Amino acid sequence: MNFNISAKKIVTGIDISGEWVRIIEVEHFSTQKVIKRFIVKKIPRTTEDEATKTSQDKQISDILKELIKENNIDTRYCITFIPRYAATVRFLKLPSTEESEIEGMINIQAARQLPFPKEEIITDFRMIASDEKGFSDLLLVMVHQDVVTRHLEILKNADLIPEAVRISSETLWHWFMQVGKKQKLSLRNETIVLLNIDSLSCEIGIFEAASLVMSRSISVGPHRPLENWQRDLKEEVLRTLTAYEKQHDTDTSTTKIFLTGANAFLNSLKDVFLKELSRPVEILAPLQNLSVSQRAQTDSNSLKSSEFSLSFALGCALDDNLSIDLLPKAIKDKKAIADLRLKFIRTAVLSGLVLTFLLISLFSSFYYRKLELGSLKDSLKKVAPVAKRIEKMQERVKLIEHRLGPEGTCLEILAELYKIVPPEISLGKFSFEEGKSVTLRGASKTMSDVFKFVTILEKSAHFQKVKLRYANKRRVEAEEITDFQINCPLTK
Amino acid sequence: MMIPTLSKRERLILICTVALLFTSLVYAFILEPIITQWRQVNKEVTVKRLSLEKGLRLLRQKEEITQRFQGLSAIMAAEGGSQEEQMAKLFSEIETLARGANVHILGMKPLPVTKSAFYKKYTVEIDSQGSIEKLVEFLYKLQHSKQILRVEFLELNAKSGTKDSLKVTLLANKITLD
Repeated sequence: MNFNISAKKIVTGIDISGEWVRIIEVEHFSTQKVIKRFIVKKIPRTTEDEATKTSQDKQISDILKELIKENNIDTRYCITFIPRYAATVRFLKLPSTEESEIEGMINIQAARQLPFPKEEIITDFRMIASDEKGFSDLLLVMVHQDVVTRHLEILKNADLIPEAVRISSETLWHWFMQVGKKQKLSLRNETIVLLNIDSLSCEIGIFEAASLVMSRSISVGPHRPLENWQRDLKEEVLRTLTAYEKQHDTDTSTTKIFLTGANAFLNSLKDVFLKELSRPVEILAPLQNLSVSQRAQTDSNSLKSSEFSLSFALGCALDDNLSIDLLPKAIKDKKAIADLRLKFIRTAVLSGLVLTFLLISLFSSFYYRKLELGSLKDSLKKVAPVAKRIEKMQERVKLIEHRLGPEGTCLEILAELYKIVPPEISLGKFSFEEGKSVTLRGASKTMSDVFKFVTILEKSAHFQKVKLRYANKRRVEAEEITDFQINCPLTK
Repeated sequence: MMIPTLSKRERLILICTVALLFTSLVYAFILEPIITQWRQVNKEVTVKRLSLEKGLRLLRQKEEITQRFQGLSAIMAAEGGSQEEQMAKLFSEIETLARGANVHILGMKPLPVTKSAFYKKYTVEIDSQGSIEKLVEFLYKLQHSKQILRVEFLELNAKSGTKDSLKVTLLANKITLD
């Protein structure tokens, strides 16, 4: 059970890769997602030198902490990612569509792919597609646990506990899907190359039928100390395309290339690509066609000459439901237990509230009923003595009026019988019980006369449910006589 | 904690049992007594409301009933005297009426006096005989007596051998208001 008390949720995407800290807040409403704001700050260059690593990480934590505090960032639900260059990504085809089976196969694959013990590797996968033959296309991500731990440590020191750790390739793909959808690109049928330029590295994603099918990170970027980085990048892109063509047995000569990221360098890069790659090239702005708040809109002017990319952080913040999560298993389990506990507490609290509400309404209703009863008793106390006296009077009046009236008296019944008894009927006995019945005993010449008489009696308004008790024939001096008895209950 | 060591099925059974137990306890100790009380109060409210409605209706009819009552007050004026005296008066009235109607009374027998909420009923069993015309006259006189007599039982038997004479048994009663 998931109780979404508010329809609005703020998801914060955090990017600490490269030379910049990027924080993006996105408001998730039930129908749309609005980019609330983004905060960017330069950080010391990341180095792999162990001696300076710790102090650098601390610096990043401090910057993050300061930015969050200064800008009052909502960090209740934040998502970060591991850059592509720090992870191993494989696109696999496995002979199963069962998730549990695939998990088992992936564990074996992971141990083969990386030169680390199985326990030190964090893996996760996303099923891209499955076919009728029972094969699944998967995006498999493997990363050494130290990479994730270091990343989480930096965030932890900035008082941040991420909900999930994604892979940059997937967040980039998701951002592109959002922008592409809005831009009405025909994502379903085309093969598209997306190049995200960040200050220190570039990431290439190749999308086929709206799915990520190839991903590469290239350590070439505007701020890398390499001469003519654009030429080097072009070479790498060509190499990637050639590899893709070989792997997928396809031609990419007309494939469209989208450039995004560090705006300051995109126009010149576009020219180089147009000239040297002979393919259509288009620039995508990070916030292009997305719903943006007033504040973010104003801030976005600074992005025109930006030297960094916002796409990864945007991809994180735009969707809190991507499937790859590189959080270590222990943390995931802990989170699952905490989530379960929270859900249980919420359920218990809500059930308690519902019960309390029911009881309160029951008690209040009961209380008002009691009040009503009290007021009725009070009114009755005032009315009852007089009413009782009148009632007594009424009973006496009714009794006397009844005794005075002719209704139901024996005289009335005798008068009725005098009127209706046919001449063929001779009555021998008449018995009258007031308010109950009349019994008639007599004789007639034929039995049919008796039945006729019963019918006549039935028609009388004074009698109801007339019953012939018996009708017996007897012979008297050669003459046949029918004796009868009829019971006539009186009409009430 | 014990729960994590249980299997999924066992955990489900445990949760269901606890939920069932909790629901039963809530029902037995909270809901059921409240519902019982609620029903009782509801019933009482209904009864009181009906009584009040009846009372108010009577109050509305007060004038009409009082007028009718006053109109009948002369007839209903409680007659004094003991039960024996009342019975004697009844006997005397019946005899007078029978004589007036030329009906021959064979016998009269007093029946026990019955008491109701606000009146006493004196009943007499009468055996008599006479022609139907005379009997009808007698019955008419009984019914229009000042003592407001009422015939509650009447049995007419054709007497064998005679053409016009009937054997009659009747129960006539009168009431006195308390």
